[in-house]
Amino acid sequence: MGLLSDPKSRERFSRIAAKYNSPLCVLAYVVGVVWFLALAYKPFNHRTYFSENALLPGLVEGKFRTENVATRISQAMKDIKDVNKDGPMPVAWIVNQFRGLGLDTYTQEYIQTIPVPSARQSEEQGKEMFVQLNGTNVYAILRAPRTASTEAIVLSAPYKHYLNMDHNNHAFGLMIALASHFRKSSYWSKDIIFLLVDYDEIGMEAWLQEYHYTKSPLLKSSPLHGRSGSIQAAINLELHSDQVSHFNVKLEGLNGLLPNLDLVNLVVQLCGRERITVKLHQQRDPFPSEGWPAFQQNLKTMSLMMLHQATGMPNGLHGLFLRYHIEAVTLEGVLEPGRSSTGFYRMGRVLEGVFRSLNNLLERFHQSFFFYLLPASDRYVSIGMYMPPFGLILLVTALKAIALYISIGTPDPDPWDGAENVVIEHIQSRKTGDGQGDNTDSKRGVTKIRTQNYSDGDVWSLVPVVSCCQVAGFIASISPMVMTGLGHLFGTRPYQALITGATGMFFASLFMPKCITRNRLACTVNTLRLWKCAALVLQAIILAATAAANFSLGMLLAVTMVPVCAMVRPGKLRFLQAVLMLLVSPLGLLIIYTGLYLLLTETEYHGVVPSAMHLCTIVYYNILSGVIHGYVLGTWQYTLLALAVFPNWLFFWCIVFKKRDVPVVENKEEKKTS
Amino acid sequence: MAAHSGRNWAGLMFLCLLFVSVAASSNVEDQVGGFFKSGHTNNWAVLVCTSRFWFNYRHIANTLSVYRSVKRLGIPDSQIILMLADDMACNPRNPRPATVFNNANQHINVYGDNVEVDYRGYEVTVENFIRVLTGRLPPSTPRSKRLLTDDRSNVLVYMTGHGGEGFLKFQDAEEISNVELADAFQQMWQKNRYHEILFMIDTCQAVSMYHKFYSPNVIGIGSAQVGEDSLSHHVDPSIGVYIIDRYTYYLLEFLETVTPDSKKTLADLFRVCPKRVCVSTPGVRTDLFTRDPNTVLITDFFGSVRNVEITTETITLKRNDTAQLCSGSSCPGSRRGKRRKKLAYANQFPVEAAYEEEVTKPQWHFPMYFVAALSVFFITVVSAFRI
Repeated sequence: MGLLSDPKSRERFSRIAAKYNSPLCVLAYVVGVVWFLALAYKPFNHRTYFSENALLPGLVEGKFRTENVATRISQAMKDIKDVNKDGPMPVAWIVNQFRGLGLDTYTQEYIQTIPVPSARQSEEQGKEMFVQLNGTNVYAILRAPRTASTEAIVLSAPYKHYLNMDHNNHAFGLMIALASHFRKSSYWSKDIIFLLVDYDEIGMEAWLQEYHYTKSPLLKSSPLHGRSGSIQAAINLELHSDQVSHFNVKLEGLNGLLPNLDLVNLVVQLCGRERITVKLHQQRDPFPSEGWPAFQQNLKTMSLMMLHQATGMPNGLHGLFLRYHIEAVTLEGVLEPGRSSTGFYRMGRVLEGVFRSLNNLLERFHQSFFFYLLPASDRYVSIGMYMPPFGLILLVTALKAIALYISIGTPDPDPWDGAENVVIEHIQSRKTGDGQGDNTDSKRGVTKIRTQNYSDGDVWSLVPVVSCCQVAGFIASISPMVMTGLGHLFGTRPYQALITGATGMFFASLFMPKCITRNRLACTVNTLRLWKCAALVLQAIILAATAAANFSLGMLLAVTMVPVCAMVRPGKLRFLQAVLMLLVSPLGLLIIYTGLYLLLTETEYHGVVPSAMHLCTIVYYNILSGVIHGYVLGTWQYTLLALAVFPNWLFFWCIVFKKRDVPVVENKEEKKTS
Repeated sequence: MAAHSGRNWAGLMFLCLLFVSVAASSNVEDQVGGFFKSGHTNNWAVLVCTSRFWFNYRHIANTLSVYRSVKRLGIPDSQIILMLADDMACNPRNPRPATVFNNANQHINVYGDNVEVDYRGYEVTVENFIRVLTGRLPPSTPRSKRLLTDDRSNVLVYMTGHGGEGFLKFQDAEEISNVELADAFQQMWQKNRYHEILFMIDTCQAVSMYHKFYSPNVIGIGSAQVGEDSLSHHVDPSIGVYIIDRYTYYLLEFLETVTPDSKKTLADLFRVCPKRVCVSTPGVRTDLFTRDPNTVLITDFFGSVRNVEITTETITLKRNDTAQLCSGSSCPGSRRGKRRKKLAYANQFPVEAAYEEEVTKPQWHFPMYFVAALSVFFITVVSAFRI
């Protein structure tokens, strides 16, 4: 308690907060949401700009001329793939391609264990029961000719996309073409590492872990025999064909990390220079850039970015670099039918320009923003702009908590209806938390009614509730793995068991209020106020912390959870409240936001039932990948939801279903003590 | 060694020419008196580039170009203090190693032969700069790193780098303020270290650097007013950097027209970069200067005055390269013609004619298969006609 703080003004503030609580809350929420949405509108955001002087984007003329190498190599790789179907990566051939250019070429082998029992292998006794993936990465280092190998930049590409089995041979072709062009030049101040990874994220993770000497128990890999200096930046390349109509720039990385905005600007600007359209989440920048349609388009792009970022899943291989503070983006070349397209020549020139600019870097990217949202490829909303509206939304929680805290000890304005309704002339010895409460006694009252528990709200009653919720959360966080182990015994399929584990605890814990009632825990109005106050404070802390780490997740949770959680109270309209609470439960939110994502991206509508089926499939997949990526790549979104958001939600859920116990009236008469 | 003998030879040539002209005139003393009109007997130049890093290539190029110009106009290396904060020629990012160019045509390498950098890299600090100006250097400092001026010295101080209002950044670590600079000049004045100073600075908000000057006989020239940025001139796309600043570019364009015997005055220098080409507004401060800029020769600062002793005796000059004695009329005509071949510096700017010729002259390259195909075609045509 500060010496300089004025207790009177605090009192005034708390009085206002209590008196005008509901209008203030509504105002803060509405202003917060409208303000946030308005950030996508052009006058409220800013044009991107270069903060880093050293990049000198586009000053140098492109000399890339080896596009026929790209065509030849990608065709050759396609032929090899056609021959050995979906066999393993043709390591020797790839190594030869790099060696043929005179680069230091190395391979790295790794074994990734996925903690999901393998149905096939488990039947054989004595074998490892988990799924294992063996892969090989190939990388080649172009040494900077006139300087020590203290810094490096990476050009990476996945060998193929395992999810849709799409081949990436064009990216490899372009990579070789760039390598053959780059090695002729003497102006490199950083080594350039060309990296072709197997098994998407897993291969990339294996390479990065080995490069940085970090270890993971589930991933074993052979050591890297050749290495370079500290990696300054990385570009990941995915090409769906040899002709592309636009580059889809992917930014969102592991756990919602984003690359420095300067790198994004660099890529966008150089694509613009070569007249290749840039899209974010396949969304074109609106033209004209002003007006209502433009705002809708911007809002759509920004929402898609937030929905992606909130999952914490990298949407390209670049996402794994970000954990090591290496700025990286993925360029996905997409051919959209009916659009004008460009070939390897222009793509090569874009990449050449990017690498020349990265070569000019003198220090790591640090000048521009790391926390931002992009409504268009050339407009940004920085952390300073999006945090105030988020703060306003959280203010609702804080205001509500303050009002409840102040109201502890006052009679219930909305008394219990029915037989339990007891008009209480209440006399209380106010002992608030800080021990400064005054002793006020009822002037008229001669009957002191004491509730079963301490009338101020029993602080100790929080302990069992909160700990029950936390235990439920803990079980939810470990249950997928436990269930897969159990499911293995009963012969269920691992993925089904995993989903059962993830959602089972959720459904089970819906019955928790019953258990709590049976335990005859706290019950008075004031105790319930204290409960809700504690739950709100906890919620505010969780959301603020989440937003600091992954803003989109925090924001999406706050927008939906805050108003519902601020409104719920035991008693009236219990069914409606329950429905609302279920909607904002972690599972409900996942379904809502997945639906929103599909609504924004899918163009065709097939009817209610197929859409619902599709939605369920996607939700199923999302839970699955959330859990598995948590183990394999170290995303913490599932853990956060299970360990923090879900217990908090469960707390509110208990409050909704909490029955107030009948106060025990002590008929003992007491003398007024005033 | 070669440079040294070359310089000797140039000096001898100069004396020889002087001697011829002096001998031809009737009134020797009057003619010679013209050299000392301005009251100075020696010229010095302090050329400073204060910024490092690859993207500041243009500042190095600025300074080296001015260095080249003052050397061309006659200030010897021994009287030039050249401070370069970075080494662009050896930067690994330089696609043309060991060169620094000041024009996208790359026709002249300003980091070519005979460049003597006195303070380089991290030696370029505010402390060293002030110490050089005021002469408070440690006794161990070699003569080549000292500004050995006296009260008859005209000093050209040229600076370039990144500046703000009232300061110029040195390296990435420190800055010199306009007050410190003014005090340094005042110390120089009190220590009789200069006769006149021409202070020239090409940086953002450059004029703020000479606002605080209070010592006599100082002219200040800045490339931009307070609140203005000083801009670069053009990019060299093959090197990938901005290669020279606007003010310095037009200054060089002007200096190229100046010869050691040029009659151009300071007033002409003040007009080198009008706002329409410079974008920024160059500023001049002459209130501390006692002479009229319209009458002060540009060569009083950019050229060099050397001590000349007049002799009435005939001196036999020895040619260095042939080691053959040759005095006056005894030299054969053909040899004299050869010797009179004019020695000249390459132009700072591309020679238009040569450049155009290069562009317009088509260069034909016939690949072998093309020639072969053509001859087959002709043979076919001819045989077809015969049939």
